[in-house]
Amino acid sequence: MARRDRSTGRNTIGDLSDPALISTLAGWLEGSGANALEITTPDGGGLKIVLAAGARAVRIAETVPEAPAVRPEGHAVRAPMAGLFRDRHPAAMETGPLAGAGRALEAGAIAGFVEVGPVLLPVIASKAGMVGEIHARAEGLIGYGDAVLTMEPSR
Amino acid sequence: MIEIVATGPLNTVQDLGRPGYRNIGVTASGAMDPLALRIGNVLLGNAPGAAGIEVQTFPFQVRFSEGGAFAITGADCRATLDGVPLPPWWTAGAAPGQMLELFPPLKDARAYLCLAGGVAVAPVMGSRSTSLRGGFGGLQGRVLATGDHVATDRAADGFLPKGGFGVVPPAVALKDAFPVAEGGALLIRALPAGEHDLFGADAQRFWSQLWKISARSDRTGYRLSGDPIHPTEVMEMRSHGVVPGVIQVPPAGEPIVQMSDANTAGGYPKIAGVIEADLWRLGQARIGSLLRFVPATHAEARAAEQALAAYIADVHKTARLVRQALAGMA
Repeated sequence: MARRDRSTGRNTIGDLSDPALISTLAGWLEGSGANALEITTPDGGGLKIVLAAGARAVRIAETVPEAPAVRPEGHAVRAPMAGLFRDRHPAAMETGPLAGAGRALEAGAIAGFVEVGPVLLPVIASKAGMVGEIHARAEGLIGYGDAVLTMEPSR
Repeated sequence: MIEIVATGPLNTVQDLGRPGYRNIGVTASGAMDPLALRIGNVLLGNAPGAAGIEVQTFPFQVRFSEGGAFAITGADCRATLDGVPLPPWWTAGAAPGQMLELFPPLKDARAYLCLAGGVAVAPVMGSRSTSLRGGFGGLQGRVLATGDHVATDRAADGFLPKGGFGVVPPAVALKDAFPVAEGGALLIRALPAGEHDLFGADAQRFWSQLWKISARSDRTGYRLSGDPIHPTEVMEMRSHGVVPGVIQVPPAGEPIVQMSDANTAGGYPKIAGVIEADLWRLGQARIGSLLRFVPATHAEARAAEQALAAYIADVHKTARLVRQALAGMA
């Protein structure tokens, strides 16, 4: 693998842990013919993406449209993978959504699920806050890294 | 390794059972909902026949002395890990010292706690299932008690996403393959058995009426209450082999469905046999609930079995792919 170093003094790419960014980079990587990329930043951050041959059954790239605009004070809770978005557990359809607008969620709370075949992945609120705008449509398809909802910081 | 902090009576270590020894009077035992146990093991990457804990009385509370992955399947027992709710049919990781608590389910009867690596107890006649009647298998042949330590075998390697993951429960995913309850009653498919026709007109009433699962029901069998049915003549029968799912009619006329701890032999006339693919649903039926038997054909029984196998295979394959994909992104 050819290593290309580029020193810009600071990280201009953005938040390397942002799923939307990772998804975009993975999409470029897939189109480039290379199979891995590694980014390290002077501040010690890093990101490595390796394309796994044969792991195509779950497509994580290309389905990601532009992430909906998120107001700066809020933070987006994003889909961990592409699939069907569920705003409540499929065995508890009679209950309300896990993250209705205005609802307070603790850090680590499950705000919904992404259904991939028979598997359910949790959509997790990484920080505590109040559910603001909900972007994902229940039982609609969602892409990897798409914003499911925006959380407003708790007051 | 986990420690049992609180348990009701009758919670035991179970795997898929101990078939092949009925000829010497050994009950097969095994999970009452083998599908839930299988899925729990699939989620953890365990062998399909690994032993787990069948929880039928609540609350049930364990401490993870060493931490590790676990799965909760079967009845939705509103499990919490250190107070944080977990969805039903879910696998997650526990840190050392974390407490898992299972509460009484609002529907269904039994929850299964599977542990990464499976419960490590010595197999007896090829199975780790507890045989309470025989007093062997499982943890010293007895029910779990507060203070018990339950060890596990070596866990499979596998990436577990933060927050864990789960499956769409079979009652939802397989609703087309398993008849929906009408008016709250469970529909259980059965094949007419040896003495079916000796019940004459009463056989029709066996199929048409709603039976209630009486309080005298347990892992050995469910005694049903309803309008009694009788054979047209009094019958004397020699004892014959019995398997889970066999529906016997004792002289009082209220049927008994043999379950996981079924007697190995019996002499009551058999009116029908529950198809194997429906036994897990019967295993989740609660005392006091209603059911109706639906006559099935062998082809229907096979189709239901294939639907179950396809679901298990799909969970197996998808869980592996999702783990791989998430591990690649982590």
